Formats: sequence, structure tokens, C-alpha cells
Amino acid sequence: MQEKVVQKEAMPGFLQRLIGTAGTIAPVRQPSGHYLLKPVARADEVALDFPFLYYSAKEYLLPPGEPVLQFGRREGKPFVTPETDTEELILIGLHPCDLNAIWTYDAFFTADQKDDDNFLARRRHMTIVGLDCAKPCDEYSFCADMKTDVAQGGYDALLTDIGEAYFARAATKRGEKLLADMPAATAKHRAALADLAKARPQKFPKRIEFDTAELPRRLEGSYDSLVWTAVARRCYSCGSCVLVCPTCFCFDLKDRLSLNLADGQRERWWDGCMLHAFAEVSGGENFRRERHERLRHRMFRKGKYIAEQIGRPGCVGCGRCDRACTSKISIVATYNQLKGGA
Amino acid sequence: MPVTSPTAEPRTLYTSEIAEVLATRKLTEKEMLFTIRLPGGRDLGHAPGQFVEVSVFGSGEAPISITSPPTQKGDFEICVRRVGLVTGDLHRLEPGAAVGVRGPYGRGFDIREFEGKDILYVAGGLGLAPLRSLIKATLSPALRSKFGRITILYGAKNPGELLYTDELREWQERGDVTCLVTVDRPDEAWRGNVGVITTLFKKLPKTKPANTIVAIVGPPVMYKFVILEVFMVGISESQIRLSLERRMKCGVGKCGHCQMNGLYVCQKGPVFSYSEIKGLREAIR
Repeated sequence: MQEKVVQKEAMPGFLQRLIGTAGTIAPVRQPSGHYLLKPVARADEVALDFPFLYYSAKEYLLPPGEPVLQFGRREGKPFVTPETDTEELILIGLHPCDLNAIWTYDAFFTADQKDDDNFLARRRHMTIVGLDCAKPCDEYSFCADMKTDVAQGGYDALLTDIGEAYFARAATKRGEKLLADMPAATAKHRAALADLAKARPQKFPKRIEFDTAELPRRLEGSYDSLVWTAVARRCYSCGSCVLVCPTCFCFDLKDRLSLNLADGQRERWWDGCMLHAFAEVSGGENFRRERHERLRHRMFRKGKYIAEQIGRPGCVGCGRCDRACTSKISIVATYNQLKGGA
Repeated sequence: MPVTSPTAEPRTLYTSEIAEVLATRKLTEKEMLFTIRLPGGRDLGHAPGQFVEVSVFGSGEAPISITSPPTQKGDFEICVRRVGLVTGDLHRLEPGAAVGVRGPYGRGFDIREFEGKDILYVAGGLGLAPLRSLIKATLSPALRSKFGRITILYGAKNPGELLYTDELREWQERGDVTCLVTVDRPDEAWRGNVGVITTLFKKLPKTKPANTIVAIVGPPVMYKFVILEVFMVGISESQIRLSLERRMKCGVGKCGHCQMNGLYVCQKGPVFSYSEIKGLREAIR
């Protein structure tokens, strides 16, 4: 791993050079005060000192709606043409939670020897510059509990604020190229980085009352608990948690027909297991008809199923679901209520 | 073994091939049998119990089980119940029409597990469609001698909903097959058994449970009751195969709709052994 530094006064120039090479997405302060990932044209639009991004980078990795196939008739004969998105894109300023989510995507979308070409095409044309955190974003964060406060993957380069400069680590060839013109890190910079790492545990208090390595066992032991029913009494099945969750990547495939009724495209749209019809089959059987079944399924995915399938986090502790819940349901509080297997 | 035709566009995981509807045959008021040919008459290369994502371009895709046996070459068959947008539009297609096909997907029946054994087939309603693929394979002249006694139990709501009535008659007339059919609600002309599928177990020929393998496909509500009957006969957990219906929207383990607890049914199933799913709370109710 290549280690460089970007001096703070050199950062605007560094960002501006990135912006010049490809479409660039970075945290931008909104009039509402929220920070969102948005396309940027100038370095001074980019915010690096922000509490949290209200939405994750999901929309750039897996757009809410994307064409996967064009179909129609050419000279009377039917045709299909697969569609992939290969626009070069640079993502800047993603926190470790979001980087770890991308690390999860990378494994999930290549799982079962089935490569999701649409995801991979986009991913191969993407450069990701992460931004380390020195403290939790706010009271909703529980990244330290999920062991996702440190990025395990999902980035090409990672910036850590060490005071007068950003410590810059390249994890890929792409990242090395990005940092090629930056000065190498010295022993002093490495010492500053080590000091930050040492101070981490105090700065990231735990919120889950047990080691989350136990989470799969606790969930399994509490499958039949009335906790799910109780929590689900407050749930509207609105899907806000799914919408903001960086590791909720389920989708639907739908056809959109052109006005000529012959041509059109097949599109992939975000979908969510909290929504009523998600597990319904034709003929009307719904395998998760009850709200608590859907809520339990989602929390099992976050705490057990995804990690068991691909060995990477199913929940990155970003706290967005709790922050977005219209009914103040908390995944942290729910996990804390479960004592199954404990 | 999938073969890509040299003229094809670069394919992605979600690229359908354009296939041709060779023939359609109305089986019941709601079910239609389609014979489909892939480009160049390429073999689909499926195992019984696998499914394809079939699309009518502009309406969308639906997962449909393959009803023809692997021994049928040059084309394959699907049996489609008219229930929604895609299946409704499929029913309006005529021979010569183009449909999209992706697959075959999922894990089907492993026919080798049936060799040397007596076979008990249990089909409820549309469940006969996927099971027919396996039934026809095991009854094919080339393979029949590999299996012992073959028993088929089939139930439908009423006589009008019985699928493949011509083949049922054929199976009933064969000396090497016991084929028992029942309906929940008879009409005036019905002379056969009346009652739900489990009532046929009383008429089951004497079986050697230790050497019997069972394949069950039917509506979700049927499994628990049929499996109970199978256990009462003395057959063991590891000798039961069943196919579970879920919403297999993408067919390739990504979209999440078919997930049953932690398993993607389109990847690990739809065919399971009872031993594999007995601990899965969402599998059978």
C-alpha cells in the first residue's frame, strides 16, 4: 500500500485535478444544512469536514432505476441489446461505513459465480477516494459496534486528517495513479496516524450491549420472539430504512415501453423487503405478509444473512435507518432487546 | 453447457435471448402449453425442476418452470397459468411470436438420486408442470429400466383444472406405473377419486419405504400435509425432494425477492431435499 500525504493547502488543487479527469461526485452542503453526494465542478464546492451524508453512495453504484436491456424491432425483426453504464466517475469523501458497504457490494454482485455485469461495468469505471472519520458522525452511528469504523475495502485511496495534512493511502493501482504527484508520507506522518488509531476506541463508544460477533446467534435464538411483533407495531412498512440503507441492494426488473409500443427497455429499480408485495408470488401467496415478518427479515439480513453468504458486513452501522425512520424504530435498540442464544 | 452463438451481442447477466414460440396448446381454461425454440434449435440443457425467465418484451419477465424432459431435444416446453401481466400477454401469443428467454436457472432434481429406487411423485395443481419434466425423463424408454416402481399422485381442484389429461391416461394405462388422480370438487362426469391429494395415500400400493424416493411439487399449502403422509408411510427425511415456489424475479441470486431466510431459492433451489429445509422457518408453514 502506497503512503502519501496531501497537505491541506494542496487539497483544493488536488481536488480540482481530480475533477478535471472525470465526472466527480463529492459531499456538498445543501441549503437545508444536510450534506449529500452531488456532481461537482469546482473544488470549493466539495465539503470534507461534514458530519454525515444523509444518503449513502448507493445511488451511484446501483442507480434507483437503470436500463439493463434495450429491445424492439429492426426491419420487422425483434432485437435485444444489453446496456451497461461505463461512464468514468470519481467518488470523493466517502466515510468508512460507506466504503465497507461498497466492499460488501463487490462480493455480493459477484457471488454464486454470477457476475452482475451492470454493476461491474459501472464499478470498473469508478474511482473511490475515501475519507476516514475521527469520531462517530452523530448519536445514530454504531459503526464501532459493527466493526466498520475502519474501511476494510471499497476504496482506491483513503484520506485521513492528521492535522496539517491528509495521510493518503492508495489501495489500488488507480489510487496510486491518483496520488502519484503527492509527497511520500514521513515517519512524522505515520506517527500522527498511529496516535489517531490509538485514540479511536475512546472516541467511538459502543452502543450495542454485546459483541456483534454474537449477533447471528442472538438473532437465530430470537426468531420467534415477540420483540419483532412489538417493534413492527410501530412500523408503517414505508421502506425509508431500505431507501437510505447502503447495504439494501434488492431490486425489481421492469419493462418500459416506448410510445410506439414496439421499442423499449428493461430497467432495474430499487425495491425493498419491507414493502408489502416484495415476497408475493403470482396467484397471491405472500411469503412475508405480516409486517413483523418483513421487519425481522430485514434485520436478519443486516445482522446475519448477508455476512453468512459473502463474509462481509450486512450492516455497516451508519445509523441512516434509525435516522430516517418515520416511527423512531431503532435497529440498535432492537438488537439490544434480543437475548436469544445469549 | 451454455453455448453463445457467434452473432450474438455481448451478453450480460440480464440479457434475454430471443426465442420463437413454435406451438401453443390450451391445456385448461387457465393454462397454456408453449413449445419454444432457442436460436438455431440449440438445446436448453436443463435439468428437470429448473426454470427459465420468460419475457414478453414490453410486459416484463416471469420465472416459469420447464415442463418438458431433458430428453426432448431441439425445443422445450413451458406450461403457463394466466395470472398476471406477463402471463396474460404470453397467452395472447401465437406460433411464430418472439419471446425472451434467460436460463435455465436454479438447481433442479438430480435424476441420479432416483436411480435404483422406487419413485413416488406427488403433484398438486400446477405443480405437475415442473414434475412432468422429471416424470417423462424417468419414463423415457432409454432411462425407465434404471428406476423401480413408479407411482404418481396428482390432485387438482376440479376436473377442468387437470393438466395433461392425455398423458395422465397414458400413465394410467402403463403396466409399470401407478397413476392416481383426485379432484377436490367433482363434476357430474367425474368417475375418479374425490378429495384432497392426501386422500390418495390410502390407495398407495405397498411400498418399501427404505428404497423409495419422493418428489413433491404443489402449492405452498400442500407441502406440510403431504410430507406428513410421506413420513407416515415410513419414508425418511433424506428421501424427500421438493420444489418451492418463490418470486424469482432475477433468477441469478441478486434481486432478493426469492430469499427464504438466508437462502436465495433461485440459487440453492427451487429443488431441495427435506433435510436441507426442515430448519428453515420460512420454507414450509
